[in-house]
Amino acid sequence: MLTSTRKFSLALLLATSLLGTLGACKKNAEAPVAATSLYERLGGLPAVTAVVDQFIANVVAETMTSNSKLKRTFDPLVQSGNSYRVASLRNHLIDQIGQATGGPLVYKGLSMPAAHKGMNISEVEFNALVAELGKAMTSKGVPANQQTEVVNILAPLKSSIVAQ
Amino acid sequence: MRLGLGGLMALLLWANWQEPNLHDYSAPISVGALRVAGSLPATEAAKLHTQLIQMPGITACTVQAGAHAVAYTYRPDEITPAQVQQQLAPAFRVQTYEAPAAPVMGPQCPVPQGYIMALEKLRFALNLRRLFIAV
Ligand code: HEM
Repeated sequence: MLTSTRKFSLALLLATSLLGTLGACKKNAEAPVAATSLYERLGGLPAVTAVVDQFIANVVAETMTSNSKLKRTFDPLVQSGNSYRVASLRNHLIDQIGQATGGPLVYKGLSMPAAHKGMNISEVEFNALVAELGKAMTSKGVPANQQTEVVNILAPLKSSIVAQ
Repeated sequence: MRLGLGGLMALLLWANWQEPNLHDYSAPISVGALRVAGSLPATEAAKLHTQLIQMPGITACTVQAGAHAVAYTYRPDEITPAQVQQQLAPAFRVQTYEAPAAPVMGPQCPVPQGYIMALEKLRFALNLRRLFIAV
Protein backbone atom coordinates (compact mmCIF):
# COMPACT_ATOMS: atom_id res chain seq x y z
CA MET A 1 0.00 0.00 0.00
CA LEU A 2 1.28 3.47 -0.84
CA THR A 3 1.16 6.10 1.85
CA SER A 4 -0.61 9.33 0.96
CA THR A 5 2.71 11.20 0.94
CA ARG A 6 4.14 8.73 -1.53
CA LYS A 7 1.04 8.90 -3.68
CA PHE A 8 1.27 12.66 -3.68
CA SER A 9 4.97 12.59 -4.55
CA LEU A 10 4.39 10.20 -7.42
CA ALA A 11 1.56 12.34 -8.77
CA LEU A 12 3.79 15.39 -8.57
CA LEU A 13 6.57 13.56 -10.36
CA LEU A 14 4.24 12.59 -13.17
CA ALA A 15 2.88 16.11 -13.40
CA THR A 16 6.38 17.54 -13.61
CA SER A 17 7.40 15.34 -16.49
CA LEU A 18 4.15 16.01 -18.31
CA LEU A 19 4.38 19.75 -17.81
CA GLY A 20 6.77 20.33 -20.64
CA THR A 21 5.42 17.68 -22.96
CA LEU A 22 1.84 18.95 -22.82
CA GLY A 23 3.09 22.45 -23.59
CA ALA A 24 4.97 21.13 -26.59
CA CYS A 25 1.95 19.11 -27.72
CA LYS A 26 -0.35 22.12 -27.65
CA LYS A 27 2.13 24.29 -29.46
CA ASN A 28 2.74 21.75 -32.21
CA ALA A 29 -0.96 21.11 -32.65
CA GLU A 30 -1.65 24.82 -33.05
CA ALA A 31 1.25 25.75 -35.31
CA PRO A 32 0.37 25.24 -38.96
CA VAL A 33 3.41 23.72 -40.63
CA ALA A 34 4.47 25.60 -43.76
CA ALA A 35 3.97 23.42 -46.84
CA THR A 36 7.58 23.27 -47.94
CA SER A 37 10.06 25.28 -45.96
CA LEU A 38 13.61 25.63 -47.26
CA TYR A 39 14.60 23.31 -44.39
CA GLU A 40 12.38 20.58 -45.80
CA ARG A 41 13.45 21.20 -49.39
CA LEU A 42 17.11 20.96 -48.37
CA GLY A 43 16.37 17.54 -46.91
CA GLY A 44 15.80 18.34 -43.23
CA LEU A 45 18.26 17.57 -40.44
CA PRO A 46 20.42 15.02 -42.31
CA ALA A 47 21.04 17.55 -45.10
CA VAL A 48 21.71 20.48 -42.75
CA THR A 49 24.08 18.33 -40.68
CA ALA A 50 25.89 17.08 -43.80
CA VAL A 51 26.41 20.63 -45.08
CA VAL A 52 27.58 21.95 -41.70
CA ASP A 53 30.02 19.05 -41.19
CA GLN A 54 31.42 19.62 -44.68
CA PHE A 55 31.66 23.34 -43.94
CA ILE A 56 33.63 22.65 -40.73
CA ALA A 57 36.01 20.31 -42.61
CA ASN A 58 36.43 22.97 -45.33
CA VAL A 59 37.20 25.69 -42.80
CA VAL A 60 39.75 23.59 -40.91
CA ALA A 61 41.46 22.57 -44.18
CA GLU A 62 41.50 26.21 -45.30
CA THR A 63 43.31 27.22 -42.10
CA MET A 64 46.07 24.75 -43.07
CA THR A 65 46.83 26.49 -46.38
CA SER A 66 49.69 28.96 -46.62
CA ASN A 67 47.55 31.91 -47.72
CA SER A 68 44.67 31.16 -45.37
CA LYS A 69 42.14 33.90 -44.70
CA LEU A 70 40.50 32.06 -41.81
CA LYS A 71 43.59 31.01 -39.86
CA ARG A 72 43.63 34.10 -37.63
CA THR A 73 40.13 33.56 -36.31
CA PHE A 74 39.88 29.78 -36.38
CA ASP A 75 43.31 28.61 -35.20
CA PRO A 76 42.35 28.86 -31.52
CA LEU A 77 39.53 26.42 -32.26
CA VAL A 78 41.64 24.02 -34.30
CA GLN A 79 44.30 23.62 -31.61
CA SER A 80 44.58 20.29 -29.87
CA GLY A 81 42.34 19.83 -26.86
CA ASN A 82 39.81 22.21 -28.35
CA SER A 83 37.88 19.75 -30.47
CA TYR A 84 34.82 20.27 -28.25
CA ARG A 85 34.87 23.94 -29.17
CA VAL A 86 34.72 23.10 -32.87
CA ALA A 87 31.99 20.55 -32.14
CA SER A 88 30.07 23.18 -30.19
CA LEU A 89 30.35 25.65 -33.09
CA ARG A 90 29.09 22.92 -35.43
CA ASN A 91 26.14 22.27 -33.12
CA HIS A 92 25.26 25.95 -32.95
CA LEU A 93 25.44 26.22 -36.73
CA ILE A 94 23.06 23.28 -37.15
CA ASP A 95 20.62 25.00 -34.79
CA GLN A 96 20.98 28.39 -36.42
CA ILE A 97 20.72 27.24 -40.04
CA GLY A 98 17.92 24.89 -39.01
CA GLN A 99 15.86 27.72 -37.59
CA ALA A 100 16.78 30.24 -40.30
CA THR A 101 15.60 27.87 -43.02
CA GLY A 102 12.29 27.15 -41.28
CA GLY A 103 13.17 24.07 -39.24
CA PRO A 104 11.12 23.03 -36.20
CA LEU A 105 13.41 24.21 -33.39
CA VAL A 106 14.92 27.42 -32.10
CA TYR A 107 18.60 28.50 -32.02
CA LYS A 108 19.54 29.23 -28.42
CA GLY A 109 23.19 30.26 -28.84
CA LEU A 110 24.74 33.68 -28.59
CA SER A 111 23.59 36.58 -30.72
CA MET A 112 25.84 37.25 -33.71
CA PRO A 113 27.44 40.41 -32.24
CA ALA A 114 28.10 38.59 -28.94
CA ALA A 115 29.49 35.46 -30.66
CA HIS A 116 31.95 37.50 -32.76
CA LYS A 117 32.78 40.22 -30.28
CA GLY A 118 36.46 41.17 -30.20
CA MET A 119 37.28 39.08 -33.27
CA ASN A 120 37.42 42.13 -35.49
CA ILE A 121 36.35 40.06 -38.49
CA SER A 122 37.05 41.78 -41.81
CA GLU A 123 34.88 41.74 -44.91
CA VAL A 124 37.51 39.58 -46.65
CA GLU A 125 37.30 37.03 -43.84
CA PHE A 126 33.50 37.11 -43.92
CA ASN A 127 33.46 36.47 -47.67
CA ALA A 128 36.04 33.69 -47.31
CA LEU A 129 33.81 31.93 -44.78
CA VAL A 130 30.70 32.31 -46.94
CA ALA A 131 32.70 30.90 -49.87
CA GLU A 132 33.49 27.79 -47.77
CA LEU A 133 29.79 27.41 -46.99
CA GLY A 134 29.05 27.65 -50.72
CA LYS A 135 31.61 24.95 -51.48
CA ALA A 136 30.15 22.76 -48.74
CA MET A 137 26.65 23.10 -50.18
CA THR A 138 27.92 22.31 -53.68
CA SER A 139 29.77 19.20 -52.55
CA LYS A 140 26.68 18.00 -50.69
CA GLY A 141 24.56 18.46 -53.82
CA VAL A 142 22.43 21.42 -52.72
CA PRO A 143 20.84 22.89 -55.88
CA ALA A 144 22.01 26.38 -56.90
CA ASN A 145 18.65 28.06 -56.23
CA GLN A 146 18.54 26.66 -52.68
CA GLN A 147 22.14 27.74 -52.11
CA THR A 148 21.11 31.28 -53.08
CA GLU A 149 18.22 31.10 -50.63
CA VAL A 150 20.54 30.04 -47.78
CA VAL A 151 23.07 32.76 -48.59
CA ASN A 152 20.32 35.38 -48.84
CA ILE A 153 19.12 34.39 -45.37
CA LEU A 154 22.61 34.64 -43.86
CA ALA A 155 23.86 37.71 -45.74
CA PRO A 156 21.96 40.25 -43.59
CA LEU A 157 23.93 38.97 -40.56
CA LYS A 158 27.08 40.49 -42.04
CA SER A 159 26.72 43.85 -40.31
CA SER A 160 26.41 42.16 -36.92
CA ILE A 161 29.48 39.97 -37.50
CA VAL A 162 32.02 42.14 -39.37
CA ALA A 163 34.13 44.58 -37.30
CA GLN A 164 32.64 43.56 -33.94
CA MET B 1 12.91 9.05 -0.15
CA ARG B 2 11.43 12.55 -0.30
CA LEU B 3 14.83 14.03 -1.10
CA GLY B 4 15.31 11.47 -3.87
CA LEU B 5 11.92 12.20 -5.40
CA GLY B 6 12.50 15.93 -5.11
CA GLY B 7 15.84 15.52 -6.88
CA LEU B 8 14.27 13.42 -9.61
CA MET B 9 11.53 16.01 -10.10
CA ALA B 10 14.07 18.79 -10.30
CA LEU B 11 16.03 16.78 -12.88
CA LEU B 12 12.92 16.20 -14.99
CA LEU B 13 11.90 19.83 -14.73
CA TRP B 14 15.36 20.95 -15.81
CA ALA B 15 15.35 18.50 -18.73
CA ASN B 16 11.85 19.39 -19.92
CA TRP B 17 11.94 23.15 -19.33
CA GLN B 18 12.92 23.98 -22.90
CA GLU B 19 12.50 22.31 -26.24
CA PRO B 20 15.57 20.30 -27.29
CA ASN B 21 18.08 21.69 -29.77
CA LEU B 22 18.09 20.55 -33.38
CA HIS B 23 21.67 19.31 -33.05
CA ASP B 24 20.63 17.03 -30.17
CA TYR B 25 19.02 14.81 -32.81
CA SER B 26 22.27 14.29 -34.74
CA ALA B 27 25.22 12.26 -33.53
CA PRO B 28 28.04 14.34 -32.05
CA ILE B 29 31.20 14.78 -34.06
CA SER B 30 34.83 15.64 -33.53
CA VAL B 31 37.34 17.11 -35.95
CA GLY B 32 40.62 15.67 -37.16
CA ALA B 33 43.35 17.15 -39.34
CA LEU B 34 46.28 15.54 -41.14
CA ARG B 35 49.30 16.57 -43.15
CA VAL B 36 50.36 14.36 -46.03
CA ALA B 37 54.10 13.95 -46.45
CA GLY B 38 55.57 13.82 -49.93
CA SER B 39 53.89 14.88 -53.13
CA LEU B 40 50.12 14.85 -53.46
CA PRO B 41 49.05 15.16 -57.10
CA ALA B 42 45.36 15.78 -57.81
CA THR B 43 44.67 12.12 -58.65
CA GLU B 44 46.18 10.97 -55.34
CA ALA B 45 44.25 13.68 -53.49
CA ALA B 46 41.03 12.41 -55.04
CA LYS B 47 41.93 8.85 -54.05
CA LEU B 48 42.64 9.94 -50.49
CA HIS B 49 39.30 11.78 -50.35
CA THR B 50 37.41 8.74 -51.61
CA GLN B 51 39.14 6.39 -49.19
CA LEU B 52 38.54 8.69 -46.24
CA ILE B 53 34.89 9.51 -46.91
CA GLN B 54 34.10 5.81 -47.29
CA MET B 55 35.36 4.96 -43.80
CA PRO B 56 32.48 4.27 -41.41
CA GLY B 57 32.13 7.14 -38.94
CA ILE B 58 33.56 9.82 -41.23
CA THR B 59 30.86 12.44 -41.85
CA ALA B 60 32.78 14.89 -44.08
CA CYS B 61 36.28 15.46 -45.37
CA THR B 62 38.24 18.00 -47.34
CA VAL B 63 41.59 17.51 -49.05
CA GLN B 64 43.62 20.59 -49.96
CA ALA B 65 46.10 19.02 -52.37
CA GLY B 66 48.30 22.13 -52.67
CA ALA B 67 48.74 22.40 -48.92
CA HIS B 68 48.97 18.62 -48.37
CA ALA B 69 46.19 19.19 -45.88
CA VAL B 70 43.31 16.95 -44.87
CA ALA B 71 40.51 17.85 -42.49
CA TYR B 72 37.66 15.57 -41.54
CA THR B 73 34.73 15.33 -39.17
CA TYR B 74 34.05 11.99 -37.50
CA ARG B 75 31.78 10.31 -34.98
CA PRO B 76 34.09 9.55 -32.05
CA ASP B 77 32.12 6.49 -30.99
CA GLU B 78 32.58 4.92 -34.44
CA ILE B 79 36.15 5.76 -35.40
CA THR B 80 39.24 7.35 -33.85
CA PRO B 81 41.92 9.55 -35.48
CA ALA B 82 44.43 6.74 -34.84
CA GLN B 83 42.26 4.32 -36.83
CA VAL B 84 41.89 6.87 -39.62
CA GLN B 85 45.65 7.24 -39.81
CA GLN B 86 46.14 3.49 -39.67
CA GLN B 87 43.74 2.88 -42.56
CA LEU B 88 45.34 5.59 -44.70
CA ALA B 89 48.90 4.59 -43.85
CA PRO B 90 49.50 1.89 -46.45
CA ALA B 91 48.86 4.34 -49.28
CA PHE B 92 49.65 7.73 -47.76
CA ARG B 93 52.22 9.06 -45.32
CA VAL B 94 50.04 11.10 -42.98
CA GLN B 95 50.75 12.86 -39.71
CA THR B 96 48.33 14.38 -37.23
CA TYR B 97 48.15 18.11 -37.64
CA GLU B 98 47.78 20.44 -34.69
CA ALA B 99 47.44 24.16 -35.19
CA PRO B 100 50.27 26.15 -33.65
CA ALA B 101 49.36 27.62 -30.28
CA ALA B 102 47.57 30.91 -30.66
CA PRO B 103 46.43 33.31 -27.96
CA VAL B 104 43.03 32.43 -26.54
CA MET B 105 40.42 34.97 -27.55
CA GLY B 106 37.82 36.01 -25.04
CA PRO B 107 36.91 34.42 -21.71
CA GLN B 108 37.17 30.66 -21.34
CA CYS B 109 34.58 28.49 -19.62
CA PRO B 110 36.16 26.91 -16.50
CA VAL B 111 33.96 23.81 -16.81
CA PRO B 112 35.48 21.24 -19.18
CA GLN B 113 33.47 21.05 -22.39
CA GLY B 114 33.27 17.27 -22.04
CA TYR B 115 31.14 17.65 -18.90
CA ILE B 116 28.89 20.19 -20.57
CA MET B 117 28.34 17.88 -23.53
CA ALA B 118 27.59 14.95 -21.21
CA LEU B 119 25.03 17.08 -19.35
CA GLU B 120 23.44 18.10 -22.66
CA LYS B 121 23.16 14.43 -23.60
CA LEU B 122 21.45 13.65 -20.31
CA ARG B 123 19.07 16.59 -20.69
CA PHE B 124 18.07 15.44 -24.16
CA ALA B 125 17.54 11.86 -22.99
CA LEU B 126 15.19 13.04 -20.23
CA ASN B 127 13.44 15.66 -22.36
CA LEU B 128 10.05 14.17 -23.17
CA ARG B 129 9.21 17.06 -25.47
CA ARG B 130 11.30 15.34 -28.13
CA LEU B 131 8.59 12.71 -28.46
CA PHE B 132 6.31 15.37 -29.93
CA ILE B 133 8.75 17.04 -32.31
CA ALA B 134 9.50 15.78 -35.79
CA VAL B 135 12.81 17.01 -37.16
C1 HEM C 1 26.88 34.35 -41.89
C2 HEM C 1 28.00 34.20 -41.28
C3 HEM C 1 28.20 33.61 -39.90
C4 HEM C 1 27.35 32.89 -39.12
C5 HEM C 1 25.92 32.48 -39.41
C6 HEM C 1 28.05 32.55 -37.90
C7 HEM C 1 27.53 31.82 -36.84
C8 HEM C 1 28.18 31.57 -35.65
C9 HEM C 1 27.62 30.89 -34.51
C10 HEM C 1 26.21 30.35 -34.45
C11 HEM C 1 28.55 30.84 -33.55
C12 HEM C 1 28.43 30.17 -32.17
C13 HEM C 1 27.75 31.07 -31.18
C14 HEM C 1 27.71 30.50 -29.78
O1 HEM C 1 28.76 29.97 -29.31
O2 HEM C 1 26.66 30.56 -29.13
C15 HEM C 1 29.75 31.46 -34.07
C16 HEM C 1 30.95 31.58 -33.41
C17 HEM C 1 32.12 31.86 -34.05
N1 HEM C 1 32.28 32.35 -35.32
FE1 HEM C 1 30.78 32.76 -36.60
N2 HEM C 1 29.31 33.05 -37.97
C18 HEM C 1 29.45 33.70 -39.17
C19 HEM C 1 30.56 34.36 -39.63
C20 HEM C 1 31.81 34.20 -39.09
C21 HEM C 1 33.04 34.67 -39.68
C22 HEM C 1 33.11 35.48 -40.98
C23 HEM C 1 34.05 34.27 -38.89
C24 HEM C 1 35.53 34.44 -39.06
C25 HEM C 1 36.14 34.62 -40.18
C26 HEM C 1 33.48 33.55 -37.77
C27 HEM C 1 34.16 32.97 -36.75
C28 HEM C 1 33.60 32.46 -35.60
C29 HEM C 1 34.38 32.00 -34.47
C30 HEM C 1 35.90 31.94 -34.38
C31 HEM C 1 33.44 31.65 -33.48
C32 HEM C 1 33.73 31.28 -32.04
C33 HEM C 1 33.75 29.88 -31.71
C34 HEM C 1 34.21 29.72 -30.26
O3 HEM C 1 34.84 30.60 -29.72
O4 HEM C 1 33.93 28.69 -29.70
N3 HEM C 1 32.12 33.53 -37.93
N4 HEM C 1 29.49 31.88 -35.36
